[in-house]
Amino acid sequence: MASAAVGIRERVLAAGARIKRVKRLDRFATYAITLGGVFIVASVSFIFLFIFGQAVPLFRSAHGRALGVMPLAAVPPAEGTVGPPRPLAVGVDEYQMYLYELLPDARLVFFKTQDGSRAKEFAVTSLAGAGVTAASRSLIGDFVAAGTADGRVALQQVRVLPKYEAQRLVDLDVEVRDRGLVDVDGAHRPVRAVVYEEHEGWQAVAAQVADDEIVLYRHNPDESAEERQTVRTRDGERITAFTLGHADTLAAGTDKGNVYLWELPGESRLVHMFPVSTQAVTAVDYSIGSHSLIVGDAAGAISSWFRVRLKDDDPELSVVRAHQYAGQGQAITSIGQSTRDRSFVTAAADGSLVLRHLTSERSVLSFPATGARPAEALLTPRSDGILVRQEDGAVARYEISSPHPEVSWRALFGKVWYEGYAQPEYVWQSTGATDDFESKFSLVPLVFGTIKGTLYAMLFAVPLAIMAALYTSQFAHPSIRQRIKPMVEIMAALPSVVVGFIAGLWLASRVEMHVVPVLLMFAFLPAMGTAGVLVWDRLPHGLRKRLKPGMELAVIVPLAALGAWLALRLGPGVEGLAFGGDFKGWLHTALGLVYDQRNSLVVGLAMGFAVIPIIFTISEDSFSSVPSHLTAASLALGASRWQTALRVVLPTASPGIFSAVMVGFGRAVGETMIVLMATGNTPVLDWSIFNGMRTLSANIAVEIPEAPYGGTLYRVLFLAGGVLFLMTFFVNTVAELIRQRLRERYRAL
Amino acid sequence: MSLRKSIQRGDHLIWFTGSALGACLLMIAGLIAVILFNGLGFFWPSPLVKVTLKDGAVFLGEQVNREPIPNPGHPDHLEKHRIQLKVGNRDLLGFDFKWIDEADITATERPGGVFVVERREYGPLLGTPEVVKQGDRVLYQGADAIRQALPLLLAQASRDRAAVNRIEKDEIGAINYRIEKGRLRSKKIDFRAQKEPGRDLTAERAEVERVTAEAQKEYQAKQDELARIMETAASTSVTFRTADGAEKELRALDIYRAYPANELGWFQRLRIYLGRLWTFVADDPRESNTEGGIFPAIFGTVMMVFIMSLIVVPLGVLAALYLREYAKQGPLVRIVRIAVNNLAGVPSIVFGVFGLGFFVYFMGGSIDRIFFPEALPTPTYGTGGILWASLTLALLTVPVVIVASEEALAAVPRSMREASLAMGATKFQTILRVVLPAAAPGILTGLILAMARGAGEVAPLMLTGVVKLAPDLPVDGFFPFFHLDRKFMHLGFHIYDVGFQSPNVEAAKPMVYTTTILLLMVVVALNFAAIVVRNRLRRRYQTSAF
Repeated sequence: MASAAVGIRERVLAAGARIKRVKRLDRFATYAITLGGVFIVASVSFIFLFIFGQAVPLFRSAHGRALGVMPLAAVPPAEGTVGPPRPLAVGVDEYQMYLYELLPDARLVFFKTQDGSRAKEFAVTSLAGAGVTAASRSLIGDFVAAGTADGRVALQQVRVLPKYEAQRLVDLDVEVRDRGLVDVDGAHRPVRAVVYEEHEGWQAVAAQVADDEIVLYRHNPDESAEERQTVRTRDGERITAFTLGHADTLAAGTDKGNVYLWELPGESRLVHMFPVSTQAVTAVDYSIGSHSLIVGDAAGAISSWFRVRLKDDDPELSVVRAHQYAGQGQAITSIGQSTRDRSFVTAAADGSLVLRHLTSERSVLSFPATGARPAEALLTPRSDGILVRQEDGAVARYEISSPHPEVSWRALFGKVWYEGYAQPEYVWQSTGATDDFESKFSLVPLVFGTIKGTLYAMLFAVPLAIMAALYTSQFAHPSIRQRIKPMVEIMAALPSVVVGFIAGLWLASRVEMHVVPVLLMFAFLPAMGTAGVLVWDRLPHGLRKRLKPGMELAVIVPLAALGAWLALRLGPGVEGLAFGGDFKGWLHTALGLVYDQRNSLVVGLAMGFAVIPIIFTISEDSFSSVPSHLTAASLALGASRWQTALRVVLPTASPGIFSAVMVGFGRAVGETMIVLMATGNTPVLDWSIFNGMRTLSANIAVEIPEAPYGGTLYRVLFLAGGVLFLMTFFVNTVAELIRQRLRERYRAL
Repeated sequence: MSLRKSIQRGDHLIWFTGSALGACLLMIAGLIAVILFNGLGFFWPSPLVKVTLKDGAVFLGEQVNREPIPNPGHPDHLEKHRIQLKVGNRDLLGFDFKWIDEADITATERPGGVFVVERREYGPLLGTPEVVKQGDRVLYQGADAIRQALPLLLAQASRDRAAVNRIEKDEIGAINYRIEKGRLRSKKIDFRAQKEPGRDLTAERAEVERVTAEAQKEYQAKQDELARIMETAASTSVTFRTADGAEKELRALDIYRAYPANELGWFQRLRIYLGRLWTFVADDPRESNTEGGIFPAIFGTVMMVFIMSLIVVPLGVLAALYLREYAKQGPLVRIVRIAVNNLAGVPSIVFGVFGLGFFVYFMGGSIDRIFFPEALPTPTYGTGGILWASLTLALLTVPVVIVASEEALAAVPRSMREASLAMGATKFQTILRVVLPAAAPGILTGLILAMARGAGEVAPLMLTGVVKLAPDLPVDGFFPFFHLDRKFMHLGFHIYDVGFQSPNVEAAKPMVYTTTILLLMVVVALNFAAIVVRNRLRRRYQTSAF
């Protein structure tokens, strides 16, 4: 007995433990599932945040800090001079390891930027000790010119070669190459200022030797061509700043606020003289690519100019002011260009600096006035720093980080005057063939293309899908309905790549060959189908009996096929009568339209085909769920089937139809493969149905594989993705809310 | 019934709406017909025709197309026709296809004795075999002798190819794999040497060097073996004469298939058809994907969908369980439900963008920095791969599974749960033993639909790891057997790539149609399965409910 009692107690205890275990498991499962569920739902919203997070840095302002005057080791003065020598030009290598200065005693001194110690020194031997009065360094290639008091210019090139150890950069080899010594001025006047460029085999040197006079020397060693010229301003205007573009144009600003442009090859030719400002021009410089000339004046105003043919038949190029920038209040003393993009830095007399971007007109970064007057400001080759050579000979250094200067709201959504364009335009062209390409990031053509493609697809799909749904739900025989629905569902599952492939490779060429028949089909197909009502009454009695009401489809499909065939047969005849036998030629002459093979018509058909099922399914659902007592009441009152459908079913279900259209719209907006394959993907702003387009989604698919991680293009494409996400998510949410309300209303009816 | 009366009642408008449905059906039928018509005929060995033109030029080929000639503005616009011949012999002619105006043709015949030769390069060769040689020794001469010998010759060539392939791909591949591993290990040692300067790593270094040297030696041996096989195998050659009289000598090794196109019976044609079909399904692609098979693409698609399913089911079911069974029903859950629903409508390219940014660059980049620093700057996971593509597609399809699972969970009758709870089962036990089994078919439907959608999506894959030609499958014989970092091929992308990026679209087109049929079959079969499961499910609940 006792043992039995013990057994029972043990069993109860064991059962209790088991129940505890089970309950613990249950609690644990509750936590785990809740946690997992919340996690999954959270990660869904994370998608959205992540995509926008990738685009946010585009709009974050650049940052930088002033590192102050560089503590460079003192250079012993040359013989016969007192005080530390003031450099006439400075330069820095790509890795910012060495800074070099050209001193008035014709020495090139290299300093280590890390500690300011003097590392190397080269004498410009060709000058044989003569003093230097003016010097310059070119933006690309580190070409250094040193002009003397007797009208000569020594040409040098600084070269750095990186040294690696275990795949890590440890040091640079510095060398200076002699590029020749030029006697630019026959009169041996002192050189006041000098510019030296090399481009495509040509060396070009421009030296100012008098207030209104610049002497030029151009030399091509390969073609052993040599040109010497002298250019002067009109009426003795004083030249205050000048620069060379691509070794073949010379731009000079004057104290009267004019800019002169000479074309140098052969005999130099003054091609333009245009007023820029009422103030004296104090700085001119070409941005990379030598298209845009940036001009700063004594009042601190800055603008950019380039030459362009304004109309196709203009014989001459015109100069246009493409951009104006926020002023700096003080005379602009120097403009420094980036070698990577169209950023430039402007230095004003009070020592303030502004980093700007040519295309976006953004003032990316500003540094306050220091009080020391800058003689020259330059951006480091990697655009990660600014060096300012001050009038007092010191060099100030700034550290900057400006990853996306070319993006601003205006650049993305506004009209921008790009180089080589006759007027401001919306252009998307993210990459070009050359390094000095001006990126064009206007999202407008892409948004336009998206809307255009969607619109044509919806024009085709919405009437077709809604009418088909109305017929299926209201008029078709139940046996037909049962078969149609799965068929449409399978149509919805057709991969878009298949539809796109057929559209691009099969349909496009067929449509091109038979444009008129295809257009005719839009009329013939429904006309023939409708004509079935005539046939119906005349069908043989036996057949009529077999086809119950709602089996009209059996007559419609062959008739519609016949209509399509008729359109194909009659098309050429109609083309001959109405369009002189050549529709495309007629399009071109009468309407000025060009026919592309892969055009919006094809996209409309293909994308329409892709969205029909979704619109059909949702509309059909809302048609069939209209409470049957409504239709029954209407029919009982003597309304015909059509009247009931039009006056009772359609209005009741209209919110559902609206949501169906919205969902279809969302699908079409984001469709990628069809657009990618069935259009030419050219980002044009043109409503013509016979032209292509480029949509946001196709653009992402085309460009993101080539976009460097973290670059501007990459982030802009993420922005485009985010825009797509927002658009479709919003549209779908609205549609879903409408549908839910509709469902509640039906329940109430 | 008079016509006026039916128009009064609006019957013609009913017919009008009916025509809309009719047009939709015609479009579906048309699409399917175009695909089947263009795709199914491709492997059928059609007879060759030889046409002589007015200017004396002769072309031999398979007629693949006939169309009216557009000449807008002229009376003969679309009245005359031209035919397109697949003339092959790209290496000799410079083109594969030739459009010929019917008006220019003076004679058409079906010559006997001409062979269609499928070979390794330059598309098919069309010509008459003249002589079979081994080195300089003539083995067979004359059409009949060669025709009898050809099957044996081709069988030998096929065996030789298999042997060469085995050595090149499997054995040398394995050795290369070891050499590459050795390289990475030695880099890893360098890495450690930097981190822990005091440590003695000479022994490890010597070991790596020994293994690498061994592999190098084996590599050399295999190369020699390969050279030996090639020496004998490559010496046999067949010389063909083409329709325009040119001669072409082909190594027997390079001939994949040859048949006399104009002297085949139906049965023989069927055999060739099936043989080519099999090649298509089971072989690797050749000639920048325009010839050979698409096995890697099929494999890649299946594998990706498989991995995707593994990820998407637990995620989807867990989220559905939470939303339906555990979360407190209220406005918040309603909003979440709508959001999840709408996620299904977000464009797939957006998911692709997310996958690229998050999985590939962020997660992949981090994994590389932590686990594979020795391989950098060559990315291991920091570039597109099958894992990232599958994860992206899983995200894309998880709403489908959530919605379907929720519906299935909601459809489980209350009575069943209450019975279980009344017996003392906990909530979790009820869910695990009663609700989930009852909802399983619904969840399965969701999964199948997700798989169908996943199999057909291309746009997100283009950003996350699909390539036009992947040298290795994601599964092979080397540890750890599944290489989820590898790039892969995909049927849908194959269609896009070959149809639009291929250098020779015209020649590749029929292949694309066939690939399309394959993809369609997969997708339609999956959808059909989903519909069947769903209908079964409905019936079951109709009988068992309440």
